Amino acid sequence: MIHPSAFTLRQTNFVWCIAAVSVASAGFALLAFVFVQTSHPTSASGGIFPTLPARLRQSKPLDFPFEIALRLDAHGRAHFAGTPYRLHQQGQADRLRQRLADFRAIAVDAGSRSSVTIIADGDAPHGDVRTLLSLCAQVGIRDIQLR
Amino acid sequence: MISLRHSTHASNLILPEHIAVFVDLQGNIQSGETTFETLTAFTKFVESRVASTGHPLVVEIDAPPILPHRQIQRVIEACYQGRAAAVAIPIRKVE
Repeated sequence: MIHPSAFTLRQTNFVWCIAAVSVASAGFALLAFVFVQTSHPTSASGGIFPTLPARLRQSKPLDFPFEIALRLDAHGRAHFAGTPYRLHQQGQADRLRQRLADFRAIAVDAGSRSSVTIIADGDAPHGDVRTLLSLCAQVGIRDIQLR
Repeated sequence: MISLRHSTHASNLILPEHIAVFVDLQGNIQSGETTFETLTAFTKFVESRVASTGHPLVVEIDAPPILPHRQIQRVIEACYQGRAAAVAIPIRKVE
């Protein structure tokens, strides 16, 4: 006759054994999943998301141009980064041209395009707009938007 | 020299058409012999040119230097409403 306490001990060992086997199986399944994913033929660099690196390699960097907005007021002043330049004064027009040239040089060094947006006041004379367009063209800026 | 007229590739070229307009001090738009007194009439003119040729249309806008930029803005908007491909403004050389 088996003593009740002995039966309880054997049952407890059986439960522990089942739990250990379950944990081992789950671990093995997880290792097998990771192995299959990392050894996928389309995944040269490994990883559990094999298609993502391939797509990243095919992607091209976005080409963002160097942009700046020039505001032209009704009094013949062009504002470059907050600094006003009077277009009708030769010295200030030359300084504005130099700043535009520096801006373009930075863009060229970065291997990017340079873009200028001219935001002209409705009362600004058309001659001032043309002067500003001419300054941009002189330093080689071709991507110009006029508003 | 390769003549574009006889080149086999010439048929694949889409050359933009170009028209020049002048905006006078009264805001009238002149194109050749034609004067458009309203922007609506000019917009329809641009639309008809684009539709008839099927080519991209570039509109060159010239105006007196003292004309307020607001007048040019109206003409530019009319050009794009008429489905012009681009607008060009002739520039003068700054000494």
